[in-house]
Amino acid sequence: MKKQINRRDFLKVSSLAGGGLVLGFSFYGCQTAPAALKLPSILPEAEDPNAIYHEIDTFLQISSNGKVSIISANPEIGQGVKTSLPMLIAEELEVDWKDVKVEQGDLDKKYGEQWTGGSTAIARAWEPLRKIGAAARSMLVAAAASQWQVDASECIAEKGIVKHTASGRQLGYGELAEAAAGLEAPDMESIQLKDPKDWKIIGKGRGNIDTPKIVTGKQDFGIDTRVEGMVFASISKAPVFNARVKSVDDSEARKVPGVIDVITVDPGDFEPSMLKAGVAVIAQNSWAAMQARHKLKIEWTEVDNMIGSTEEMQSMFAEAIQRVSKPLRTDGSTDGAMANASQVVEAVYEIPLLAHAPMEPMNTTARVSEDRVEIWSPCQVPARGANYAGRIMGFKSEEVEEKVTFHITRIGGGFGRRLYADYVADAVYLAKATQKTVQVIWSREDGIRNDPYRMASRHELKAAIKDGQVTGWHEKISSLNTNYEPGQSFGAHNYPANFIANYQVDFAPIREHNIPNGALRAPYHNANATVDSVFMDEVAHAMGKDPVQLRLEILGENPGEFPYDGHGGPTISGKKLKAVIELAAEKGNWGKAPAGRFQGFSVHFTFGGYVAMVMEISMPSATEVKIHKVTAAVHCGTVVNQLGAKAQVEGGIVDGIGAAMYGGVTLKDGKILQSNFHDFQLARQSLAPDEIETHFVSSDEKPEGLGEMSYPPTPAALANAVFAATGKRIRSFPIGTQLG
Amino acid sequence: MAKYTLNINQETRELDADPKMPLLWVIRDILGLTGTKFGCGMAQCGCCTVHLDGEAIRSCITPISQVKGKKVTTIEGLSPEGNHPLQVAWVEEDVPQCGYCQAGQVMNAAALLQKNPHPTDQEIITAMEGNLCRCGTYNRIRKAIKNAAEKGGTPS
Repeated sequence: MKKQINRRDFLKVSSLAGGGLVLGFSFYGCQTAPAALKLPSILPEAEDPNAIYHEIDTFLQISSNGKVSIISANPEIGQGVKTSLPMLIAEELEVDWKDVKVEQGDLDKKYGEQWTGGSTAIARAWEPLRKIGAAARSMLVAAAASQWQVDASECIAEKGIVKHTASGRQLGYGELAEAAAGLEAPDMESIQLKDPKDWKIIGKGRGNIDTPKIVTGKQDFGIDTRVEGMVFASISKAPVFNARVKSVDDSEARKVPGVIDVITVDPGDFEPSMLKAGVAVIAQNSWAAMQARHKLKIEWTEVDNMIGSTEEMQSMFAEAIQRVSKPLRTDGSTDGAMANASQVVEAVYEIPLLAHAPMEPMNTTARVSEDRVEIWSPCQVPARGANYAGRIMGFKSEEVEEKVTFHITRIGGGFGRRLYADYVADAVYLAKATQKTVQVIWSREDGIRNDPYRMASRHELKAAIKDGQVTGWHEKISSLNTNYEPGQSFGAHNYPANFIANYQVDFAPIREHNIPNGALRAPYHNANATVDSVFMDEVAHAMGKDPVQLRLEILGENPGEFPYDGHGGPTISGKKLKAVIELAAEKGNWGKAPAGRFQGFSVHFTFGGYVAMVMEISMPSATEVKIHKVTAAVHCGTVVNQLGAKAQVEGGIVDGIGAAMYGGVTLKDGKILQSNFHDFQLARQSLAPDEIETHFVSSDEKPEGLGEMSYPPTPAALANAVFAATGKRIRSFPIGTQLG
Repeated sequence: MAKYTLNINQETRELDADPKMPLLWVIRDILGLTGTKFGCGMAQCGCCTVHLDGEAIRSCITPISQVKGKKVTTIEGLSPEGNHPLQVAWVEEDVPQCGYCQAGQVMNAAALLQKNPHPTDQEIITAMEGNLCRCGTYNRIRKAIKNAAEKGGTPS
């Protein structure tokens, strides 16, 4: 039965056992999730499957002893929401940050949609979470005023205490919590938020709330789940995507001490992104399972539409671009501009498949008992994992909420990998098959060879130049495409779109193939920004212009704001692009590199945020890159947590540097060649810049998320700096293999 | 299988294990100390760093048979109160993002400061090169190590 949804936002008040105030918040928004993030809802009454129901993910509890506890329900993957979201509540509540305790909530309908992705958390929580804090404060003040029989306007709240200014009387929040719980919650619309000039927490720096536990080994991640009687599983998955098990000889594997069982994982009709075929070894400990699994002798089936090699994939792109041309955006006539140009600049770029490789390997622990499942998992989208569990168990979708308990653990890195929940399916499948509590643990090799890879792509670009101006820009893209439809934002609306009269982007997807694809930190954008910003550099050099100067000329004196129907819209602002370009150039001493150092520049808009950067490098040898300094200018609206925001910008830059230098996996005989960190390299200490300087453009606009923005422009800044240093133009990635 | 007596975090533990079983899995799956992390299984990432008689080692490639008679220290045992100068500095410099690699980073840094109480930037980079951080907290790790070094570096 469908319940009537009240579209009005409202607060829910209840009492805490032992006397205290509990405040929850329901906020039904209609903001649509980015296509890549459309999620199975666990809300049976959800009316519109495309809407995200922002029943906000945080509850506030004030106990009678004055303890303030905020439940953070969004999965924490290192992006800092477990710190920054509670800061919003604490600010309005008027409590000392040190007195706030933050707890991770389990997957629960009462918290609404609980997922992490798309740099959305801060933006969507900005008003609601401040309002919940403000509402609680006003109720505590009202409770005090009522007790003192004075007007609430004569009272102030500060550091967890309500004071009556005239008489000097005061009561702590703990003493007032029970009385406040008996009051009616204020109307959402009437709640007054603080003037930004009075902020004590927002806009300041607050460290990662779990750091004390992290540095003492007390913080549990998913992999640290320990349950009485649990066993461990390692799964040998098909080396060629989509292959199934034809036969298995497990006689040697079963001889390994500690081995309990060997189970063939048969995905049946489940889609490969949910459950892949394999053979699992169940053992008393992780190591025995991993050892034994290598002693399995498995024969695999042949696969349809297998892409055999990276070269084959690249030929498919080149061929598709010639054959298919689906325009994503057409402004004016690029053909006309090319025909009338005095100069046409052309270049082809290739972006490789890339694995996510978060530090915590994929894992999940599942316990199955009498028609119920209990899961402990580091998953960005727990509802997806819970639904997978329900499907494997044969529950009806409306039973999932009741029959699946999902504990959200702290997550050792996401980068988009954990939007998918295949490892949850693994654990539930094996727990069901063995009737034991099973922890599935993927090896690093399993992770690199079974990733929903950042799609590889080919980009053919042409620019028309006439009378010292860029008069046309035409990009043709071909890419593997399974989880995505190309959609609006695949290159179509990125800068310099809107600022060049004749502008066109065409897309030629490859649909028939067996390579799993998925979202990786700033999906689409991490490829597009690279291509756009390197090609702009090429065009500038062809025109004999400074690349920063050319970017500013294209924007013009007073650039406008244009529709942007991709994630991060609804508009893209020329003014903000200009602001970050100018700020990065100024702070990064653009054009004034010391002798022996070389600079690269890039700029990109992603998910509501604008980032421009100057990267300064030297090359101690023909194959060695030394990064001295990266100066980033960022426009992300109000900065909620200075420390956390800078951390995200710094992290995205280091991630982007590693991906640009080494990132990518290659196919041979239908298999991924790379396997572990010796051949799938990440940035290490010596490649990280000596210095990263982050400058935020001062803004009083609502905040935007920051988990992804600094990543997309980074590879281009590095590639352009390498060009400045060596004269070698980087058109395919990674850079590292092309030096020397 | 063989019987081992392990001195870990100043406690003595008796256990049964395959002599080839890496210390990492003994620590995590047999002794139940989960602060030491699995990242690669081939000494490429440093997540599993622990101290063996004060030296930083990669526990994922160190068989339990080689640990006999030596003292093992994990992140849980680095300092009884959790206030080793590096642990304090890690909080002060707000180092972790996801936090998964950080126990290994701290253990590696602790061994560095034990040998070289005042490392230069280059010495820090060289010593910490084997510890990957996928979130890219390298700059803050350097700052935290310098911060701790300035305050004395090793527990009193």
